[in-house]
Amino acid sequence: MASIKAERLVKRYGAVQAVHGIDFEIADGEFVAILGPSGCGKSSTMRMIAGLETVTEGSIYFDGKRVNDVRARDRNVAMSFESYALYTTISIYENIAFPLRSANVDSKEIDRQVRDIAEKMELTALLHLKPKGLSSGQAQRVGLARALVRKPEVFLLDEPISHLDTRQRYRMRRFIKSLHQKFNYTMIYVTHDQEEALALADRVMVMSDGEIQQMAVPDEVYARPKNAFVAGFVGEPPINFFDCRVAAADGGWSIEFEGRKLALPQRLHAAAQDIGDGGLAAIRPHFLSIGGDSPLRVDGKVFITEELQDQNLIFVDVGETRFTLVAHPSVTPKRGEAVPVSIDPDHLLLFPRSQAGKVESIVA
Amino acid sequence: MLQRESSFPKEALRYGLIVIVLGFIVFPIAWMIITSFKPADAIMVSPPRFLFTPTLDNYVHAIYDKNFLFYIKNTLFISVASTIIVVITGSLAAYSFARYNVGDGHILFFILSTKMFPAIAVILPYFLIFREVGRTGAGKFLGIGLDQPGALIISYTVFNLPFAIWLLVSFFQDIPRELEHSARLDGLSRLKVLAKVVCPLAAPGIAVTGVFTLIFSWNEFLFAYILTRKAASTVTVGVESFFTLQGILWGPVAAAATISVLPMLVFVLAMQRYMVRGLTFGAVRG
Amino acid sequence: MYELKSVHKRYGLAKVALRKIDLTVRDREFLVIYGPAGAGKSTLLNILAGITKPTSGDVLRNGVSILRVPPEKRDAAMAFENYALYSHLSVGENLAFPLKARGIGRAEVEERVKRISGILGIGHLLDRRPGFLSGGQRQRVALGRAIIRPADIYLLDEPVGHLDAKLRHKIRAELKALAEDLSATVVFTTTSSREALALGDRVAVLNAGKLEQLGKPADLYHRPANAFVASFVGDPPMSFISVQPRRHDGRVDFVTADGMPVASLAAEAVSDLNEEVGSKIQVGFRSNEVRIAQESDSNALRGRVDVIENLGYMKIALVGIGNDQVSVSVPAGTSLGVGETVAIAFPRDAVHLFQNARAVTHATPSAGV
Repeated sequence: MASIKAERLVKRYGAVQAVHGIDFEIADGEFVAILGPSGCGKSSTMRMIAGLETVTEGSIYFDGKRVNDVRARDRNVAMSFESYALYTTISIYENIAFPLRSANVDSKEIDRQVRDIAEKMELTALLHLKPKGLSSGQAQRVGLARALVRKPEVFLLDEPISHLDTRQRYRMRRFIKSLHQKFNYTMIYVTHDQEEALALADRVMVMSDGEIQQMAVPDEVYARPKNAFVAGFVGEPPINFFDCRVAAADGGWSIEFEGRKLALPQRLHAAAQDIGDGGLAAIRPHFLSIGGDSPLRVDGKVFITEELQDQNLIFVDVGETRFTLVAHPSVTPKRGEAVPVSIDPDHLLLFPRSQAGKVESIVA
Repeated sequence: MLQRESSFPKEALRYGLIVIVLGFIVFPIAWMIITSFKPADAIMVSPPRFLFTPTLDNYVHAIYDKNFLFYIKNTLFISVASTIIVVITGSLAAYSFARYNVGDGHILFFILSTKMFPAIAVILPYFLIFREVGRTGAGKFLGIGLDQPGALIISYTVFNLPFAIWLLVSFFQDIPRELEHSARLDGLSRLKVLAKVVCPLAAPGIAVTGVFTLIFSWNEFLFAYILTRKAASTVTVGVESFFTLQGILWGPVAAAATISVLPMLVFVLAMQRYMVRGLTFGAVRG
Repeated sequence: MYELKSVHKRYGLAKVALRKIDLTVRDREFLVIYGPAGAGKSTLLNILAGITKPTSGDVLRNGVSILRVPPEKRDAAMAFENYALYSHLSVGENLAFPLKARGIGRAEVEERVKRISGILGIGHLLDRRPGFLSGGQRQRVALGRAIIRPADIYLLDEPVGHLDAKLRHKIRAELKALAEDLSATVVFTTTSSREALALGDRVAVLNAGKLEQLGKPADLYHRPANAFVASFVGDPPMSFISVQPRRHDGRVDFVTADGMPVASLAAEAVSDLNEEVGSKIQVGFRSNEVRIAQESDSNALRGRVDVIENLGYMKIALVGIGNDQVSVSVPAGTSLGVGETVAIAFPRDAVHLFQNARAVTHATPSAGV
């Protein structure tokens, strides 16, 4: 087990800069998720930690020791890849056993460990097969099993469960989490799936454009996002953004949206002051309601209602903005119905409008 | 991800190697072209002469005295005809092997195995067959007989087809089936799917196959030498006629060779843009 | 209306993709085929499209067998899971392809390409070749090409599976609205429970080639036919506790191996329960049907928190009780530590009961957020 520290870490591919001089520290035994859209630099960062990429500038330390020039295989880092790099010519058993065999582990011990991990991954029935006929989910589990069987000091996972079905995802997620709790590996999990990052990690490092946008515990990232990008990227269903006008009023601040005015709560005054005229407000779907008696109530038209049984997801168009809100399963407005929508001011977030571009980039 | 870190010594080494390799490839061709412009007395001297008065004598000799353009015309006709037949029948055959697995792989292997037969082993039967066929009415009408273009077209087709099919099968296999399924669901018949989806996507493969086939036919000597006398002779046989009893006419040989290279050069350059690899890049989830 | 009658599909000698499937696709319905990877979802779509022929069984359209009708004559539009884009054509030409193939006029082609690419957010990519697009963009082109033309039936094979969460959320709603507006018949496959419930008028749960259950989302969610459906539909999945029945006074109590009571039902509610010795009886709960109780609650079961998953708006605690684990939804603000012992309150008269993985009864509590 090891703690990891990065200082002014830069990765360049030719003229393209993938990672822009980032600093972070990961404690011994900590579980950190690196979360971001494709091309944000998360995989490059992880590959530098693994030693699979050279560090262009800056340093990486394991337990305070600089490891820039330590080869990948000497770092005792295990890694599971997004694309399941399995050896196609040998059986799944041998695939899983491979790291142990190259470490000269006794063959009885190999057998025990392979069967143990295969059991946990529900791969026992497949052990004698070759990887060729596997479904993508199965191949993923084999890849994971192979990475885990070595009991590494640092364990890196690159989106190992993103393609699984809902049930398998929960299973794998809980398995990975319990693995961490049991063995206390220092774990780094790279993903573009915010749900996985929040559910698994002790801390989440949100990246975009090669920079760290925020690094904090899941509750912090979810409830107090540092900027509009983090707010937009974290949360399912996704947060609602709407353009508003910010104005000073009666010694405080207020926003104007769709002709309605709302006095901002105290906690947003400082933000409002910095923002100036044009603001980008954000509210999570759980803090919107149909009807309600919020001081900020606007008229909307229902676009569609999704009945998820435990809750309903209602899409409502307010002017040019489409809001998503989460409602009780008994609330089932029809398509085209006119409804009042209440915005809970206690959970309103406010960002400068200049960050709108960053939000757009999420769905590029 | 590929990393390119360049430094001066590395770059110098890279270009040095390129120059050496290019020298090996380009020098003989350059020498051939230079020789074709040399006066007769400047050709076989030692040390080789690099400064001379260029002359077109060799070309005049090759074209007028030896009627070399006649060979070019023959070769062009024979190799182009054979190539067209090979590409069309080869594509159809390869497509059915790739998609319908006709013959479960056995037929494909059988076809390819005919390529393992050395040409020299069949040249005598070929000679006899074409001599007999040429004497029949149909043979005369179709021009299939000794010293007639049909004989060479058939021979080249037979010899190129296995290789062409083998090459094309992998190209067709690389086209995802879903593309064809999708086009059929959009309402296109099988034939239209072939024309509108499969062929454009297999274009690089077809181009490569065409180039290989044409160059093979263009350069072929053994069949042309045995099966033709004069009327249907090709360039390779034509050049051979420069090896006279008086000696080898190196100047005209170089001139004839230079002329022979030109059509192929133009052709390959023209085909180059179709020979881009990975045209199906981006078709399916990667 | 499309009907699959006892459709069986085998590849080679051993690999069975579909097992005697009976399924009706009603006109103008949004039918979701939901199942794990390798369940046979794609095979089912391919059979409807006419790309694959079933080994046995029949496929009917409005009562007439279409087994011999080739795909080009079926008027089905399909989005393939691996996209199947024409890489030699631009995005715009890809979208226009199905329209041009049907001889639709240029003005209309342009107008539709514009509309669909706008909905899918790929309007700025029309001139590019598929090779220069990201995976998510390619998938949207594939989806666009399927829905751009009017068709008798739309077959969408995991058409949003590779989009990122935000986009998936957006396009899912657009798709549902579009299908409603066009009164289209859609068959849609997915591996996501949320997608299946959100989109389907009806959902068919497929597992290892077998149709486990076909019904409205509410049926699958509240009255799953068996433990597989119960554990597969819903996010998070249903959790189970193994119990033994104890009969007394016209009621049946269900207790854990330690003798702790989990549920109690009237005997007539569980008349389907047989007395077979050694059968496996399980009580199933959704994470929002159980809650963390006061320590003093004598009816609550004690368990140890094994895992806590933070979903932002709430947390899911995985609590170990005996050999079983139960998911419990907890409000976001709750402070709960791994390893802590907690009391779990069960809705004692409102449970899902399974015997040997088959549903016995669903005494469903009112669902809550």
